[in-house]
Order: sequence, then C-alpha cells, then structure tokens
Amino acid sequence: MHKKTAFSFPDEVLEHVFSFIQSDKDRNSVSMVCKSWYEIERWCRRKVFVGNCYAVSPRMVIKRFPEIRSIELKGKPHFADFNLVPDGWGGYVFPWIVEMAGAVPWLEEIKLKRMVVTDESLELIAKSFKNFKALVLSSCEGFSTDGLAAIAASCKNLKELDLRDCDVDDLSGHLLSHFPDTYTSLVSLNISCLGSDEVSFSTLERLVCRCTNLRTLRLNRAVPLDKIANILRRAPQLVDFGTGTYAADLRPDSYSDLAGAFSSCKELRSLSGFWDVVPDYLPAIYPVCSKLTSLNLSYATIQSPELIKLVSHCPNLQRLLVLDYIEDSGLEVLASSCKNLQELRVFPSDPFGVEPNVSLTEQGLVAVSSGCPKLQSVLYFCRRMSNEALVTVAKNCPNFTRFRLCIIEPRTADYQTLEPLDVGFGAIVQYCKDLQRLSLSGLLTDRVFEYIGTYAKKLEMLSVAFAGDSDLGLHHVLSGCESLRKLEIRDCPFGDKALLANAAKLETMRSLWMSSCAVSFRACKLLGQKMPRLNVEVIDERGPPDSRPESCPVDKLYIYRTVAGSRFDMPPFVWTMEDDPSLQLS
Amino acid sequence: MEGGLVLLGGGVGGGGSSRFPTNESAVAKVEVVSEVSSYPAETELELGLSLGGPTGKAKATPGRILTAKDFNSVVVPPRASINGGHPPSVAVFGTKRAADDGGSPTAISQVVGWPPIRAYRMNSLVNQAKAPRAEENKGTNEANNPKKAGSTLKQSNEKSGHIGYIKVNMDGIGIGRKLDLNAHSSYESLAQALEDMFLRSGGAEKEQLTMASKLLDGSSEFVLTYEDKEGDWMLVGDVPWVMFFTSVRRLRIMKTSEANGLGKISLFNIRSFRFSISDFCYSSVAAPRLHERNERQRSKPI
Repeated sequence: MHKKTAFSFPDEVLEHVFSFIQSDKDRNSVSMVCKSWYEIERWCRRKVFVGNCYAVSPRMVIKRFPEIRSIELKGKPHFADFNLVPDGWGGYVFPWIVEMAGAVPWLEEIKLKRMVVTDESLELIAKSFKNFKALVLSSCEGFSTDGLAAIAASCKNLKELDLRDCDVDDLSGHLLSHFPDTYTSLVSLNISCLGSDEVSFSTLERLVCRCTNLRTLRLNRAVPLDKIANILRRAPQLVDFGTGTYAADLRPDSYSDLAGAFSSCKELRSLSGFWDVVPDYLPAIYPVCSKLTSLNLSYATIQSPELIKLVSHCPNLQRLLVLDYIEDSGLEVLASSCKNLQELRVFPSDPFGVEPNVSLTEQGLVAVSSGCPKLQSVLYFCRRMSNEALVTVAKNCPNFTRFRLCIIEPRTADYQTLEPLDVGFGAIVQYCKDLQRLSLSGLLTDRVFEYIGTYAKKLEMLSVAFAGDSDLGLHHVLSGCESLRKLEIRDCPFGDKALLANAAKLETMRSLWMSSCAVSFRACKLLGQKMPRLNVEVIDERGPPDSRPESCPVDKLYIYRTVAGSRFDMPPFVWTMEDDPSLQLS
Repeated sequence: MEGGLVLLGGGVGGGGSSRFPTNESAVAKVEVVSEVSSYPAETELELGLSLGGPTGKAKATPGRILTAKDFNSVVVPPRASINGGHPPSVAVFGTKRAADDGGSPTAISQVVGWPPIRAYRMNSLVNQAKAPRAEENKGTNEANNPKKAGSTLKQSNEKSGHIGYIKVNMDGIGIGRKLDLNAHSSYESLAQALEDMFLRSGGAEKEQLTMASKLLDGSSEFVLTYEDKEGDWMLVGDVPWVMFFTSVRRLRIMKTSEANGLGKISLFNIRSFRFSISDFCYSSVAAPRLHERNERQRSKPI
C-alpha cells in the first residue's frame, strides 16, 4: 500500500496564493483548513471587517492580524439612525485607535459606521499612521472640523476623505485650507454633510487644480451654483460630483457657463447634491445625462414634470434616489426610459402630513418593477399598498436582493381589501429567493412571519415595526431564517417565549434589537445568565430595571454575540445582564 | 399550521369578499389589542439551547402586548385596518386622533423614529419644504410673513431643522442628549422633558432635584438657554413659543453663575420684559441678547 505524502508548499507560495483571496468569508474559510494555513493567513490578512465593534476587542484583532492595512468598524445598532438609541449608548472608536496607533503603524485605511469619533481620535490618527490613505466616516458623530483639519494637515498620502451623513461640529475652521500647498494626492473628497461652514472658493479651486487624480468631489450646501462651473473646468476628469446649492438667479451667461462646464466632464457618471433646485438650471446637466449611472435627487424639491424630463435623458441610469415628487407618472416614465435600473429609493417629501401631498402610490412601484428587469434594490415610502400590487412586484422582480417598503402610517391594511398585507410580503419572500434584506410595514399578522420563516432562506437582515400578534411571529423568524444575521424589531407584541425558545439562534446572529416589545426583565436576566457568549443589554431611561417588577417589559433590548465579554463603557441607562457560571448548562 | 402556505397565484384579488375583514387574524388582533391582561407568571421559562428547537409548540397565547402608555404615542387611524365594531379601546384612539385633526389636516402626532428617515435627511427636508410652496404663492407669502421674504435664501443655508432633534447639553454632564422639539408645544412640556432627561435618568452628577418650572423662572441654580439662528445665546422663555420653536438651534442648561450674572429672575420679570419689547418691534430679532438684557435689567426699577 502506498500512502501519498502531501506536498506542502513553502509559506511564501501559500501567501502569494492567498493574496488573490480578498473576500472575508473566503479568508475565514482558508484560515480554518489547518493550523499552518491559519498561521500563514493571519500574517498576510490586510483587511478586517468588524460588524459590531463590541463583538471583539481591538487587542484580540491586532493580536491575530498584526499586519492589517485596513479596518472597518460598525458601532451603534441600525435603529440609531432613527433616534431610537439614546445618546451616549456607546460605539467609541478611541480605544481602537489607541491600540492600533501602537501596534499597527502602517495602517492605511479606517472605515467607520455609526461610531462616536472625537477630535482626539482624529488627531491621534493624523499623528500615528505615516502612510494613512483613507478615512471614511459614515453616520458618525462627536467630532469637529478641528479634528478633520489635523488629518488634512498631517496625512501627506491621503487619498480619500469621505464624510457621509455625519454630524460634524462646524467650527468654521476652513478645513480645506489645512491641506498643504504641496499636497496633491486627493482622489476622493466628500464634505456634503458639513453645514454652513464657509468654504473658501479660491482654496477649493486651488486644491482641485493641483489634485489631478481627483475622481470624486461632493460639496456641501454652502457652495453656491455660480462657483461650480469653475470647479468643474478645473477637474474635467471627475467621475462623481456632488453640487452644493443648485439655485441662483437665472442669467443666460451663467447658465451657458455651467452647461459648458458640465459638458467638459466626459467621465462624469454620478451626480448628487441638488439642494434648493431651481428647475431652470437643470438642463445644464443634460450633456452628461446620457452617460450617468447614478443620480441622487433626494434633496431636490422639484416637481414631477421636471423630474420626468430629467430621467428621460438618462437611459443608462442604474441607481436613482428621488423624492416622491416624482409621482406615479414619473415612475412610469422611469420604467420606460431606464432599462438598466438596479436600485431605486423614493423618499417622502412630507412624511408627517396627514393627507398625501403627491400622487405616489403602489402603482409607481408596480410600473418600475414591470419595466426594469434588472431591478434589485428598492426603498419605497408610500401611503397605500395592496397585496395584489406586492404579488405583481414579486413576480416581476425575482432578482430582488433588498426590498424595503415603508407605508407611512403604521398598521395600514391593503387599501382594496382591508386585509393584512401578509400575502403580499409572503409573495416577495417566496419569489425572490435571493432576498438578503427586507423591511416590513403595514398591517401584518403572525402569518407574514410564517411565510418569512418558510421561504426567506437567504435573508440576512429583517426590520419589523408595528407588526405581528404574538410570540409565534418571532418564533417563525428565529427558527426558520437560516441566514439571519441582523434582526431589528420595534413596537411588536413579541415576548419572552420565542426569545428564550430560540436562544441558541442568537449566537449565530450578529445582533438582535427589540424596543417597545414585551420582553420581561426576568427573561433578559435568564438569557444573560445562561448565554455567556451573548451580551444582553437592557436600555431603559426610566431607571434601573430592578426597581420594577421582574415581569415588567424592558424598554429596549440589544443582544449581540461577543468574544470580548461585557463592555465597560456603558452609560447609566444601559445594563448588561451578568453571566452566572453556576447556571450555564455546558 | 394551516394549509394556507402555498400562496403562489393564490386568491389575492380584491374582488369578492366584503369590505369588512372577516378573516380570523384581523379579528384575533382586535381581541388581543383590547386585552390588557397581566403577563403570565411562570416559574421556569424554558430555554431552547439547541438550534431548530421545539417547533410549533409555542402557542399563540395572548400575552400583554403594549401597555396603554405605549399606545398613547401611537396613532391608529380610524380609516385604515379594522373597522366595523371594534372594541372600545381601539375606538378611543380613533377618536383621539379625530379630535386632534380638527378641520384642517395638521401633522400626524409622531411616534419616535417613525417614519424611519434619518435625522440628517429630515432636517434637510424641513429647510426646503417651504421652498416650492413659497415660490408658488410668493405674493401672498410676502404679505403675510415679513420674516420669511428675503430669508428664504438664507434659510437654504441653515443647518438645523425642526422636525428632528436638537442637541441639549447640561453644564457638568459630559454626555449631551438629543431632544425631539416637535413633540412639545409649550415651554412647560419642554422643561418637564428636560428635567426627566437630565435630572431623573440616573445621571452621574445629579444636583438637587429641581422643579421643572424653576428652569424657566431662573430660581434654580441652572438656567435654560438656547442658541438661535444667528448664533446668539438667549434665555428660554422670553418669546412666544412658536417664535422660539422656529429659531432655536440647540439648548444648554447653563449654570446660573455663568449666565452673565443674570442672577435670579422671576417669571414675572421675564413676562413683563417680553411685553415691553414686543411693543417696540416685531421682527426676527425677537428678544434682546443676553448681555443686553443684563444692562437693561440693571437700569430698570424693580
């Protein structure tokens, strides 16, 4: 009998092979093949993604991956975007920066989402990482333009500074003037969320002039329309441009100036900004429309006729963000003009109005689903929906990966039959087999969760509000959705039973959020005691939960798996349920 | 499980059935909503420690869902979902809503964080929402609203909105908070909310508990101030609520000693001040600056 001996490759060869493997999932798989592969892989991993900054400690990450060049961290739960997470909950990046400053001096890229970033953190970044190249802050807060100025001044190799929807303290520090005159490496700059910080236009123009590799430039609202032409002329290589205020007194010379400037940008594929749009100036962008793939008009308060004219000029549009001023009629034109559309987001112009202010209904969504075969991702705010429409949409778009529907009034039934929308959403999960993300709204019973548990096998993230009748609903989801990673629930009648019956499931997920539901303090304690690898956080601004009876439901509950144990940076209104070693079963 | 899972092409069409929902789930929901039963006490809650644990065993028992307190902030419209003979509790909310509505459509009373739109986007909307309508009826607007005309352009450059949250900081407490100003329609309710937020939430540095009104009348050691659109810090309570509401950018609960030595000001004085100032001028500069007030105070006989 001959036994074949396995030839093992030298480490360098394996490392070279691994360098072609970029996806985190694959890298994780590689590291689990055997011990030597684990070792080789960990020394050559360059990018780490931490979906929950409290799931692991910075020290653990750096210990395992000492040579990373890029780190991405996410902090607060998603519902923090809607002010459901009280200020001060956590998500501080400073401890991570401190650890990395010492141990990973060659770090190049930091991407953060929903984290609290201080000026101190930014200054530490500027000081510690000599080859720092990219800072992407998405929905972050806690810092001012002073901290950003430190980055601009110190990071000679900075390529990307991207502030998306951040809450920045504007100290009128003239951020752009802190880039040295010798600095030319900027590729991507997004300052669209900066408030009324006065931008020195001459500084901006000089910066744009000398940074010949600039591809993305998103300005803030303070930049007036008459400055845009000059900037565009200095950066004809731009691929992604965000305007400031798109309003000015109409003058023929400034209009033609602007139109000419846009035409000189042959590479432009993405436009955004468009605050305070004056419709007469919109045709200035027509020269670039035929090549546009992405258009963000979600701040543009223009009416349907103008929107229709605009989208008719954009046959290659793949991504459109727009207000509901587009109306059903506009969406029908979109459906016939933009056959490559992959992503559509329609936001409400008057979210708190009692009566609809525009004629945007389920018909618009149906039209787009019918006309755009490549549609994959939808975020749609409307005021009425029907099961019939949802079934039609589902049949038209079996390729959906993300479907988020928000019917503005909670618990709104099918407007035609007055029935719950269970069957409609059921069709979505049944036909769209690759669905990864789903947000529900309208009148929904436990039935919809039964459908979801049965069919939504690839679903990774589910958002639920004002839905369901009983624990059975939650049970269906937790026991049926095999790929579920994130579940966020508010104002639903889900209590202890389903949660406790599916406790093991929670360790296979990133996190579970439940607020204004019916989970008792007792159940939280039990879960915390018996599940040491979960952090069970009770968030309650009414005061300590043990000052009320155990059967009392907690206000907010956030459960996440972690290998780092309880955290130590909790504010007074957050309690972590303690592990109790004597109660653990295994 | 019912045999109703297969729904591909199933009878969805709106025809046939009556307008009033007769299916069980809707009725069950109605029953469940009206029941405010106490939560079943159990000695040992079973913990499902293996995946794919007991299926179908969990019964749909009607437990306590949301307390009445929770429902107060949720508006259930009479027209949608359930009609016909719904139980009294639901009808109560319906009528509450109708009463709020009055004749003309006003804003829906808001549930926190609903509809799910980022604060960033909401603030942006508010600043622009006036714009298209303003352009449509420019003529009438200018006549009725001298403050607005000429300030629409300025508005477009402003950051803060009022459907949305404003920051609140209290001297001595490191962590700032955010407050939904839209949830309040009077100074009293604002002060009460602030007291709940800062003085009762187990904050680490609790000073002595003060009555909400003391924040307004300046008789506590803290004074409630706000930063207005022009960046000036003003005393809260001087101007009519609506004027305050449209100009406030953020709040600060300031130590009285820091508030420019204003000292203790009685509510009476504040009110009388407002009357005398508004006699002279009605403009966007509604109340005197803090330090200006100081000087005037000193010269005014008390």
